[in-house]
Amino acid sequence: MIEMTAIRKVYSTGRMEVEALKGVNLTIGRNEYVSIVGPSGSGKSTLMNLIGCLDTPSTGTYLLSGENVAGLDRNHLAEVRNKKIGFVFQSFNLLPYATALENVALPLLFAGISDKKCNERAKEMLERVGLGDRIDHKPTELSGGQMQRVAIARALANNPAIILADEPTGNLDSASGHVIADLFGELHAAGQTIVMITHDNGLAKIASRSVHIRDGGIVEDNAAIPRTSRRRSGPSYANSIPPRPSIP
Amino acid sequence: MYTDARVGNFIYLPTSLETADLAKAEIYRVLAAKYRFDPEDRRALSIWDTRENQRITDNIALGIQMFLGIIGALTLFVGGMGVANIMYAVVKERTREIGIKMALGAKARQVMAPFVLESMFITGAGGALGTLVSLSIITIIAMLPLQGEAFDLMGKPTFSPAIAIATSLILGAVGMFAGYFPARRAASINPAESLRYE
Repeated sequence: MIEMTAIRKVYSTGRMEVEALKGVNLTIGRNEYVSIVGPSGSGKSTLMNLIGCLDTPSTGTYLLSGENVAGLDRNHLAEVRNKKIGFVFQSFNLLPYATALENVALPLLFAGISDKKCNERAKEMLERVGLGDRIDHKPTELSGGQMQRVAIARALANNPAIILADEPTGNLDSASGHVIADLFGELHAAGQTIVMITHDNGLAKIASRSVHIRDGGIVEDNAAIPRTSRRRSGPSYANSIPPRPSIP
Repeated sequence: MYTDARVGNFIYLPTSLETADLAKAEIYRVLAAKYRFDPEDRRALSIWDTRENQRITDNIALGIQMFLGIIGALTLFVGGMGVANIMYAVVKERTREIGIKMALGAKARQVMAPFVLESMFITGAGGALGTLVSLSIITIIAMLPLQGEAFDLMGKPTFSPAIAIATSLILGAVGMFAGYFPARRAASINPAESLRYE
């Protein structure tokens, strides 16, 4: 699914050159649930941008579903992002003036799908994340957890090869974090490949594999527990974070 | 004509515009021979050629038209620059939104289209408003009982559909260009950076 070989990313800031990634090799297979963990400045955001085709590496090769995307131009990268990657961001990144349905329909519109089909598919995705009754609500009329579920519905809209989540529970309270983590668990169980960037160890533990990154290189890569056994006895997000607050 | 029954002046009408110069030369030749003066001497016999007057009037009118045309073109240019400036500001303000759309797979033309359309809408609305104002002024002037030499000379203003269409087309082009360049900047934004933009 993802095959990165000797990926380097160098940023030039005037006279200085900063090497954000120093020859990263990373392979992620179909239906893996991978968390990428690292402190601030470790290069994990740069890695996420490269995995998500938001940026291109300075050197190295990146095969996404067998296609070398390292040297593609902007329009082709846009097409790859549209068809193969679904983004979930920490700050949701929903369009504030658009309804939940319109937000979810956006990647479908960019794919050139007709309005009617867009709306049908967007409604289906919102129902899948449990927001079938909120399709006409604008982001300001939704809670943080609901906004993130809209963002997940949007990420799923084009049936992407990978869901790429950047600190998806970072802006949420623990109860909403639970819901989102459970939703990712469900998506993974349904066969979705998920790559999640986080510094939340609790969230990282529920992934079947965690990749630790520091100073622009991978320092640890461990497949925690095989997925089949994880389903029966593996760690769950509920065990790794404080209990959900009881609602009176 | 006067006291001694001599001819002081006379008016002649050439049969056509083409023969006017020939007639003029012929009059000089015949009268110069008769009264014994040099046919090239324009002081001995002066002819008031109405075509020259017409030429001068035409040139003044052309000068005024060119002046008004230049003022109009400059106004359009300044207006276009104003719209382009607004659109640059809009692009900056929507940097994050552009980043989101790019992350979701919007291609360059899909990022650019809303800006170009918005710019054309702004100039279109301005054009429609201008047409309404000019129509109102024309109607008001037509209703006023104004008399005077200025109106006799210039005529009362009327609405010209041809000029309205030409102006609309020029405005459309100005709007498109005023939107295109800011839109091109929007499409060249790095999506990874624009997503971090606050």
